[in-house]
Parts: sequence; C-alpha cells; structure tokens
Amino acid sequence: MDNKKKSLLKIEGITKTFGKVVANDDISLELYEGEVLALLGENGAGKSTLMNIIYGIYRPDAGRIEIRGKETKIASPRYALNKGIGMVHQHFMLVGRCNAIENICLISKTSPFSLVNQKRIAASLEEIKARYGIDVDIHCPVEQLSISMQQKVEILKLLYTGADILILDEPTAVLLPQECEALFSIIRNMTKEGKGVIFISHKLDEIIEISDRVDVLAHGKMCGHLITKEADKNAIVKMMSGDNVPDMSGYVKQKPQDEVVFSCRGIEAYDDRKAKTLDGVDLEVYKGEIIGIAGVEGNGQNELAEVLAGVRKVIAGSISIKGKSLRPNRPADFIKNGVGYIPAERNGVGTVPDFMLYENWLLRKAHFPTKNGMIDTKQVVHQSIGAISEYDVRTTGPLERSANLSGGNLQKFILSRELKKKPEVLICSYPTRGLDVKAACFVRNQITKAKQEGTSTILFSGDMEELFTISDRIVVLNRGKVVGERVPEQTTQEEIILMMMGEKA
Amino acid sequence: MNASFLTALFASGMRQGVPLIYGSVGDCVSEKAGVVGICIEGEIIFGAFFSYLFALRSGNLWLGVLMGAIAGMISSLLVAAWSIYFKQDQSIIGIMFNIFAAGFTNFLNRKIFGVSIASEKIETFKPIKIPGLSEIPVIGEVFFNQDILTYLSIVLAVITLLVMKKTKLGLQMLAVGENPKAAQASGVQVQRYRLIAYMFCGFTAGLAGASLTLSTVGSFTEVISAGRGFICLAIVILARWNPVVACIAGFGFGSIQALQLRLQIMGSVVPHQFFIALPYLITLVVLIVAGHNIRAPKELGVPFDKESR
Amino acid sequence: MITKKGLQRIGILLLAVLTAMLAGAVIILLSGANPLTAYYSMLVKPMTSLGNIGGVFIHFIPLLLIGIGVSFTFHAKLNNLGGQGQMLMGALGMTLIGIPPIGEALGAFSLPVGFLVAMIFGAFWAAIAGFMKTRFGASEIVVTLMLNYIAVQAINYILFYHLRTDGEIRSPRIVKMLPKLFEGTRITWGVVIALVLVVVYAIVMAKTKFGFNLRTVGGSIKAAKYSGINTKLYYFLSMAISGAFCGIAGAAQISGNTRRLTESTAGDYGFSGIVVAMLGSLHPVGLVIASFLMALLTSGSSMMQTDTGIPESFTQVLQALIVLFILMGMAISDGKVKRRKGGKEK
Repeated sequence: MDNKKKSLLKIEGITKTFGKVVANDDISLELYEGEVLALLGENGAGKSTLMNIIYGIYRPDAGRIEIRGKETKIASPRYALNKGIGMVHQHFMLVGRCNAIENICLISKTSPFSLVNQKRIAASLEEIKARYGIDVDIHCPVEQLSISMQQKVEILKLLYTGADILILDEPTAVLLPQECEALFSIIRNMTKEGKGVIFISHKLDEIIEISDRVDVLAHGKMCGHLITKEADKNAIVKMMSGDNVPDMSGYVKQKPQDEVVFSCRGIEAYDDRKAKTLDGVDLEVYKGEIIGIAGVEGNGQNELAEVLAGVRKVIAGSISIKGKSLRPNRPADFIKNGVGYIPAERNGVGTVPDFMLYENWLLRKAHFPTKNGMIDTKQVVHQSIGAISEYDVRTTGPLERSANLSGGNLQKFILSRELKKKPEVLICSYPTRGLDVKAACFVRNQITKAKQEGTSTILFSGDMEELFTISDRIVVLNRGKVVGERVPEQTTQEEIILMMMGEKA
Repeated sequence: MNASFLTALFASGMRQGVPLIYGSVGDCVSEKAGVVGICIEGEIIFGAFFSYLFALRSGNLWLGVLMGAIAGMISSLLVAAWSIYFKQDQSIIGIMFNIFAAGFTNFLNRKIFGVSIASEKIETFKPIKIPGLSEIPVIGEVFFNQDILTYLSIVLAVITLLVMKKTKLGLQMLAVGENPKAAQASGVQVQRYRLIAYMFCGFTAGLAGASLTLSTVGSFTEVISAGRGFICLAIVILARWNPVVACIAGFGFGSIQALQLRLQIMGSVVPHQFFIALPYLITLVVLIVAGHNIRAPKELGVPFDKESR
Repeated sequence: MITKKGLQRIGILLLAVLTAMLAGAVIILLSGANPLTAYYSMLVKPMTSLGNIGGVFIHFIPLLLIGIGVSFTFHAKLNNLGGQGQMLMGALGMTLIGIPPIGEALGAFSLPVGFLVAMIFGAFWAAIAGFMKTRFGASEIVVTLMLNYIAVQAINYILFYHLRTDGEIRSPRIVKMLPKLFEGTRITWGVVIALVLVVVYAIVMAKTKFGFNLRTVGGSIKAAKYSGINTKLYYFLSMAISGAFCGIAGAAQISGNTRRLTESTAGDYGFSGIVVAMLGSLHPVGLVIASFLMALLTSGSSMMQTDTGIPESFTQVLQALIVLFILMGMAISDGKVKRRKGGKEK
C-alpha cells in the first residue's frame, strides 16, 4: 500500500446490536485520501449500519473511530458533517417539497437565523456542477426529479459542504447502466482532488471497475481486505457468502400444464404519487407455472404485484381467475378465489407487528375456524403451531409478538400461512430480499414444492440467479409495460438486463 | 343592516378573532414541524388564567400578558416531554393535557378566588387609534382602532411568515415536519426543533389566552377557551399553514362570533342556539372542504425515533 | 391466559395510579390541606354507607358504557372524544320516548324502546364523525369535539322551545324508570345492563371476525387491506358502535338517575370515559375496575370538597395525571426511551 497517502478515516472494533441481532461485530477499516474503498456484502451484511455509525446516526456499542489520525466520537450527523464526512443514503435524505438549493441550504453551516440566499448558493452550485460534470436542475422541487437526478442532488449536497470523506450507500441500485457511467466519472473527478470515497455495493462488476481496494463484509463481520487489481472474482464471491455459496442447482423444472388459470388484460394503474406506473400490462399464467417478473426498480413491479393481489386500484383493465373475473381493488374477492400474496413488506403488511403469531395466522383468510359461530381460538393456535414447526419458524411459540421475529422467520411464517390455503395463484413480491442464504433457499424450495402441487406463482424478484433458477418464463417489465418474455434456458442474463433497460424486446 | 352596524360588527369580529389568530399562528409553526396542536386548547386556558391572575394582582396588564405567554410556554413543555421524549400519540396526550388544564385552572381559580361565579372584572386594553389610517371609513374603524394586542397579533403573524419562508430556521422546521430523517441527516436536531415548535406554539397560545381575558372578556371564567383551540386547528388547515392567511381566517371566524353575539341580543326568528353553534358548524364545513389536504406536512403527528430503521 | 406482557401491563397501570395520586398529594399539600384526609373522603368515604355506594354506582354505569364505546374506537386507533354529545343525543332519545304522551302509551315498553332509540341517536351522532373521517379525511378528534358543542346547543334548543317545563329549561319527567336492583338503594338494573354489555364487548372483540378485523385495522392499515378488510367501513362502524354505547349511557342516565333531560345530563362522562378506556387497557375486566375507580373519584370529589375545601375539579387533574403516567410507563416498557448506549463508556 502507498504509505505516503494520508489516512482520512480509521475505525477499529466497531460493534452494534439491535435487540438480539448483531448487525456489526468487531469491524475495522481504514480509508486513505484519493482512493475508492469498496465495501462489498450481501443484503443484511451490516454495511448500512456501519455507515450510519460513521455518519453519527447510530451510536456503536463498542469500538473507536479516528478521523485524520485523531480519535473522536461521532455523536450526531452535524458533528460528522463538521468533520468532513458526507453520505449519500440508500434512501435519499431529501425534503421532497424543497428544491436542490433549499435542500443544500439545510446542510450548510450557516446560522439558523440567517436568511436563505438562494442566489448565492445557486452560484456556487453552478460552479460545482461544472467542475465535477454534474448535470441537474437545481430549481425544481426534488420530488419532481427522477431518482437518478435526486441522487445527483445528494452528491451536490456533499460537495457543497466540502466533505472529503464520502460515503455512497448502494448508489447504483437505482441507476441504469449509462447513468452508472456518469456517476463513476463524477467519483473519479472527486478522487482526483484527494477525496476518499467509500462505495457500498453488492454488485461485483461495478466494484471491480471503480474501486482501488475492496473490503468484504458478511453477516456483520469483516472477512477480507483486498486490492482490487490483484483480486480474484471467485475468491470475493466466496468471501461474500461466508463460504456458503448458494446452491442453485437441484430445482426441478416441470413443464406447466396448458390450462390458463390466471390472467390480466390491459392493466393500467397509478403509483402512490398518482403517476401512471402501469400502462397496459397483459399476463397469462398457466397452471403450475412460475413466472418471473424482472425489471429495474421503479418500473411498476410493486404496483403490478399489488394490483394482481387485489390491493391496488386500477384505472383500466381486467383480472380473471379460472375464467371468473375478479373485481380489482376488492382484496376479499381475490382471497376467496384463491389468490395468495407474499408482500414485499413483511412487518406491517404481511403481518400486524403488535399481534401475536397465532393472531397473524388469521390474516388474509376467507374463512376463520369457528365453533358455534365464534372464532375457535384453540383451533387457530393449533394450526399456527403446526405451521411453525413444519416450516421451521424459530420462535418461542404462537404467543410471540410477530415484531420480535427475524426477517427470515417471519417470511417463513407468512409463506406457510399463504401456502397452507393451497392457493391457485401465489403472488410473491421479493420473497427472498434481505434473507440469509439458508432462509432464501428454504423459501425457493417451498415455492417450487407448491408448483408441483399445482399452484402457479408470479415471482417478482431483483435477483437474476433466482429468476433464472426457478422460473419457467421470465417476463420483463419496463416503464409499466411488458417488453418481452424469455425462457431462462434459451437466454442469458445479459439479454434480460438489456430488455430491462428497454433496449431490446 | 346599515353601514354602522357592519362597521361595529367587523370591529368586534376583529377583537373576537385575535385569540384565534394567536393560536393559529403558533399552530402553523408547530404543524410545519410535524406537531399537531391539539394541546392549544389547554394552553389557552392556562394563558388566560395566569394572565388574569397576574394582571389583577399587580394591576399591570403587560405583566399579565407576559405571564400568560410564559404559562402557555411552560405548560407546553409537559406535552412536549410526553410526545417527544416518550414518543406517545400526540392526540391522546393533547386531550389529556386539555383535561388537566381545565381541571387545574378550575382548581386554582376556586382555591384563589373562592367559589363565587362572577369573578372580578379588570380594566382591559384600550383601543389605540392609528393616526391617519383610522380615518379611513369602515376599514379604519375595523382594523386601525383596536387595542395593542390586536396589532401585535398581526405583526407576529407577518414576522412568523417571514421567518418560515425566508430564513434557514423556517426551512429546517419544514424539513423536520416533512422528512425528519432527512433533516437529521442534514444535521438538524429533530427533537430539539420539535421542542422549539411546541414552546413557540405554547407561547402564542398563552398570548391567545391573555388576549381573551385582558382584551376580549376582562375576567376569567372556567373553560373560557370554549373550543377556540380546536377552531384554530381548522383555521390552520383552511389557511394552508400560512400564518398571514390564518389572520384573515381568524378575522372571519371572529366576525361569525361577533355576529352570533349580536343576533342573540337583537333577537331573530332563528333560535339563538343556532348562532352559538355556528362557529363550530363552520369548523365542520371547513374540515369537509379542506380536511383532506395533500399539502399537509408529511410526518404530521408521527413521533420521531432517532434510531428506528 | 395472562402473559408476561399482561402482568407487566397491570404493574404499569397500578404504578401509574399510585404515581398520579402521589403527585396529587403534592398539589393537595401545596393548597394547604392534608392529603390523607382528602383521599379518605375521596376514596373511602363513598364506600362507607349504602347510600353513598349507590352514589358511586350512579357514576359507574355511564362511565363503564362510555368506556366500552371509546374502547371500540381505540381498537381501530381512532379517538372518539364525542362521548358527551353522543350521550346527550342518547338521553334525548330516551326522553322523547319516555315522556308523555309516548311514554304513557308504551307503558313498560317505553324502556326497551327508549334504549333502542337512544342507541340509534348516539350512533347517528357519532356516525357523522365516522362519515367525515372516511369520506373527507377530516380529523375525527376535531369533528367529535365540535359535535359536542353542537349537541349541547341542539339539546338546549329543544329544551328551550319544545320540552320546556314549569318555566325551566328542562324536560318533563319520563313515565317509567329502571327498577331498582336492591330496594332502598340507588342501585338500578342499569348496572346489570352495563355488565351484560361488557360481556358482549368481550365476546365481540375476542371471538368474532368483526372484532378481529377491527383490531387488524388498528394494528396496521396496510395489513388490513392486505387481509381483504374494507378499512373505511370498519372506521365508520367502530365510530357508530362507539356512539351507540354512549347513547345507551345517556338512556341509562335518564331512566336510572335524573329522570329528565337537562343540558348538563352528560356531565364530564365523555372525557372520563376515555380515561376509563386507557386505564382499563381496553380489557373487559380492566374496564369494569377502571370505571369503578373513576366512579369512586367522581362521587368522592364532592365529599372531598365539603370536607377539605379542595375543589371538585381536582378529580380531572387526577384523571389526566393517571393517563399521562400510564403513557409514560408504556413508553419506558416498550423501550421507546433509550438509555444512552456507547456514548460514554470505553
């Protein structure tokens, strides 16, 4: 390593727990000026927690932090900002109703009682924009900007404060490939000026392209420091998964039957901001088929999942199951006719956090177990105990509050509830997101098992491997439209990605 | 109905509107910062009682105003502790605080002044004619021949608007109510700003109470606020969280109140109970017309947990 | 079945009551009276004679009924602050049926019919708020409060222009009263009605799909939608049912206690009912205990005023403090108040 380079940030032995979950376990790393340090790890490996500690949002339970060789305690984001630490969060920290100038004024060091001098800030922003090649409208309320534009506002914010320790938390997750290029060139401009960048991602290729060094996190532990140029791709993959390379083989693919069980025609719908995100989606699902839906985030997948599960209004279009038409936005109708749904949000949608597990067992049920017209609580508890043991949900029992369950266990519980109803169709929205490898495997196995029993599944996923491994067909969504479909065996990930970008049909 | 009737009506409407203006200016700020002012009602009662107490005992109206405002502010700390520190539901706390305020001031009132129903009247603030402007027909009488608390309420509203729109403080308050996580990431201490919002709202509600006893009524009666705190909430929605617009709405509601009082005295075919209920009915109408407002601060009423994920 | 969390909850409630009483003792001391004597006349004296106990039950009935009503809305995470107005409307319903000529014509039937009409009146008054909430997104808090003021004026109008008797602003007496449960006391069959309704409430909440769905709506609105529940309908229904119970409280007050309608028939029960619901933790048994305690406070407060000169309004202070301390206890036990971690230590 080049010893002449000055250390900007050094952390040692950082540990942070949330309740029983150890998010960070004895983590150390060091950042030098003029370099890009990539922090690589799966979802839930503890990357975001670590960065929130560095940025002063969380307090670590143990460990020490040095900034430019001086030990310090980062008590608040304000303090971090003063020390020259800036962060672009995974979920942008922008006030939607304000424009870029106002958002940037918020972070500036001026006194609260000073007047907002939009002209002066705008002038220096124009200067920064020119210097780093950032192109964005700074006068428009940020809620009206596209995601990639909002990210540029975030970066402008950092540069305006003059921060030289820059943390980018999964900046490419929301970008298209060509937008990534633009981001990388901005990053290169920044390191040229001696700034240090921590770049968080779980995408290997990007990291190899942009970073100088790679630190790998897995399950809250730091498990490897590498120099990018010398690194071996396979070695990194092994590190990331904590030696547990996901076993994607062994899923049985069986030809679906010819009967169409579920279909939708010409679905158009708004998203929560009243922007039209679905623009005429047609879909036909055969009996015992798993359809994978691929798309870059924000191209209508969430809305489509909700429409197909009956919980979102449509502007136009029809949905039918086994030839019987369903009334959109009437979830009870969907439930009665055998549409199961695994929502992306487990806590708060899939379950009521404050309910005990056996109470959550009753959600999305057309018929409650009853005795003399009353809910038969004993029966409900009995059923939920059965599911808990069959699906290996790790919990103290049916009386546990569901908020206390880990993501994987809660997902297994929801899955068991939906599959026990033997649904005709199962809508799965990002079912393995944030789960550890073992739990994710379990979920995939159950979905394929249900398929053998005749359940058709519509699987929304951002995980290419997953889509290729278990789906019979992959349907690609772009800007609220189906742009094409492929059989996994006859295509490549590259082709699907191009389709997701809307560059190929 | 002739011109002099209308002039007197609106002049009285302006006076009746002053407590509403103070209350809603404070609520504009606190709602912008994500805090619903259910507790305003109770703070008005506290302000009214202590301003009356101190003005009566010291003979100095200004001391009364000051103590009323301070009482409102101190009592708001109680609400703030429960909502910011204990992160409990703002509505329930507000309701309980209002019960507490009504009970506690009644308790003090009876303890200090005895059980007699009619309390001692004090000399209220005198109208001040603004030279020149008060000569304008109708408008002069309505807006420029009022007491000092009326003028102050308008000045306060204008200053508040300027601070909210033009300074960084206003921007920070807005951020705290719109997206507290973003505010926090920008280095704004969300809890501290919400506390300031509570205190400011308590301060103005205290002034509202003071103006009730020291300029409108002249004495303290139990539950003197009579729902004005809640009318303020409706005014804020109607005014789209703009303090100066809230002034106009406050004047409007005050005029309804004044009309109600006049019609009661004059006698009319419509039963007087209808007029007493009129401000409350109109509040309902306001909520119907403007209740579902997309421009409401996004995190209104949501407790903020620094480490929530 | 009592879970560990349930036990903890009971502990919090007891602590909250004790802390509130301690804080109240300080206020009593500062006002120059002896807290022990004050609390004696407030909490023990109402129990010392049969007559006094009857007085406690007079308050117990409406408090319990409104407590149940408010609980229905709390389950859906709504706030019904309109207990006063809804109770007045219920009382009006009972009065209209109970007074001559209808009361005479119906005879003994005037009671069940009166209760039914009271229920409908109360439910209607609350349903206005439910409608405005679901249709226009208006805050049910402000709406129910405004409806209180409007109800008082409406009742005043009816008394003033239509039911005025003997030159006073009050209605004629109703013909038939609820029979006494024990002769020679003031305890009526209203107690039985209220207790039966607690059982109904318990069954509805624990054993019916309606109750379960209502709790789901309160637990998470998105989960409710996911579960196929028409959330707006449930918001509306919880409001209306809540109002129905408050209406029954009004009917019980007229037919078991005051015999005629006045503007102050509903007293402060509407707000005390909220305290009952909070203190009773929405649990059927808890509601019964809490409303008994609140009834004791209410009926003891006037004795305290006579004995020690502490104004009656002290009860309100105590009630508010109890709820505030409950909220504080829940915040601490839910871990919402974070101890500073890792800030100082090595």
